[in-house]
Amino acid sequence: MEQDNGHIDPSFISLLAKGDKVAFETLFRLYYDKLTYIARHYLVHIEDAEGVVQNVFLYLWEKKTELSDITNINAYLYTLTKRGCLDNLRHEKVKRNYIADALYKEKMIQYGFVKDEAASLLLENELGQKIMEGIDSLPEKCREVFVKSRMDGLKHKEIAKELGISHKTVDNHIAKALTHMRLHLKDFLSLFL
Amino acid sequence: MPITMAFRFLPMKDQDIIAYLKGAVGPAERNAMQDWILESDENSKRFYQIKAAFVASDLDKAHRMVDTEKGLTQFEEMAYSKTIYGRLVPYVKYAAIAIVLLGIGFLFQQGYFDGNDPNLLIPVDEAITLELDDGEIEVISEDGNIQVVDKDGNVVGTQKGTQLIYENEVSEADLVYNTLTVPYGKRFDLRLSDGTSVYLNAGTKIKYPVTFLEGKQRQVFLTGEAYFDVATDVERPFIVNAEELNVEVLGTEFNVSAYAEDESTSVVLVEGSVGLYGDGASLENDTAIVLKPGDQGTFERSNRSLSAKKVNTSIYTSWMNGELVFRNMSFDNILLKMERHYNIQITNQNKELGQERFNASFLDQPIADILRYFNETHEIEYHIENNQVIID
Repeated sequence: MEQDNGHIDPSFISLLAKGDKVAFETLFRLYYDKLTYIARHYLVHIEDAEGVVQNVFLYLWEKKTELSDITNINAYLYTLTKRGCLDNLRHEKVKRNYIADALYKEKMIQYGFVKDEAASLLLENELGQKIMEGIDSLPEKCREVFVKSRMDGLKHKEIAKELGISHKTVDNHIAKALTHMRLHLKDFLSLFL
Repeated sequence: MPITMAFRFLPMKDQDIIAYLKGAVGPAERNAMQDWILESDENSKRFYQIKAAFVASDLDKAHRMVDTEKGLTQFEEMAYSKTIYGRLVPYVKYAAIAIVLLGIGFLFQQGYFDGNDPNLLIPVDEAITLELDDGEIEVISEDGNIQVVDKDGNVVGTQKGTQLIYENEVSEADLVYNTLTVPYGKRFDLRLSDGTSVYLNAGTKIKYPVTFLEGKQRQVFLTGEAYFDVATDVERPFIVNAEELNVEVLGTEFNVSAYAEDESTSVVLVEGSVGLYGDGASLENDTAIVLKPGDQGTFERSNRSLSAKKVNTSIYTSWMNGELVFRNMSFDNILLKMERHYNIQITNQNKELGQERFNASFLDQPIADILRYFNETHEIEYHIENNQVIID
């Protein structure tokens, strides 16, 4: 995998284009929390953030066959999130007992923030960098167990037998992998690359 | 409004912008800041730059604020079901396919099947509530932003994420109480007006004064489990009244577990010193005991006896990180903890097993993983019926 921001290897993209569910899960686990966090700072009603980012991934899934042309998935996801936030702000209605004026001001400020190029550039770069930094390696044994479980679909009992370790150790490895996946996915990703 | 106008034409300092971004300003300052931002392109540019840096700096903490597992389940349900529906695969088949794909975790998504399928387990999503002095009840959503206002309209408490913060140290003539209720399946934090932090576990209710009185002891009432980091104040001892047991401290960190359905109340001391005594007694009584750091004090409600022993405190405080740690704990007790943690119902039909003791640790992970662990390592069989886990 290249180290520059978000230029994930084309073979991973082609897995996405084929609709590989594990590839989608991986991408989701990498980006969902960070994009939602950014969206919260883009919106007036922060509770809409998760919905906006869900739509980004649903859009990606629906358009998966067209993904092969994408070279920078980081920029693509970030731009889709921004677009979703702008749509949300445009359709913002007075949902609660806000004073209309205060809401209007907040909306104007958020709108300007989403559209501001310098701010966007900074956030997009930071996002790419954090993802790359976070894609760190899982310990080898842990990865092995995880791959057998998630990708080869083996049962815990079978893995334990095959690797000569206890059920409990298998469980621990998988729990650890799941917990840390969000931040440490380099090797997991490299399986596709 | 003259105050707003005065603010408006002052140049804003970076610190003011950061305070605004942190939400640490009052309504008037907030309004003035917004006017300033919109006043000129130059101002907005500067604000946007600082805000971008502010957002970027916390980007790697995003996972603490967002539930990826829940999001992923939602996404997979929506994305993959559409395709399958498109091919007109019957409902039942779809459920079966999805379960194979996603593993048992799929069973625990919320609300999709609305309990129509007897094999599905759907945790109940109850709200955290705040009862005000006048009996009015407000619902607190974990990503909401409520403010607690006193009878004169002053803001005394502000919600920041999963924490409710009381900052007003204005001395009142009378104690005004709020009651915070955290249902099973959730956790919440509280900072009292004296600076004491309280971390509340699932199934916990705490009643506390909005501000403590000058020169009087600080007293709160607890049912459930909480970790206290008490702000030191030698003049005003802090007392937790927990199901007939009183925990009196000057400034310290400790965990209190006082669920009404448990037979005992336990206090685990992490730091400092606390005294324990039953209702109607005081620290001077012979029956009172004093804990040292690392001690667990236990109050048996049946005979009102107090005892203390050394424990590994981290076992008792791990719940704050969403972990479940069981050490030499009976299976029935483990099930009870799981019911609280996930807000689900578990019925154990195996009496013998209920008394067996287990050691196990789980990180913040779906209940499916835990059930699977017991199934695979201890061959405990279970099934799901009417939104309940039945241990066979």
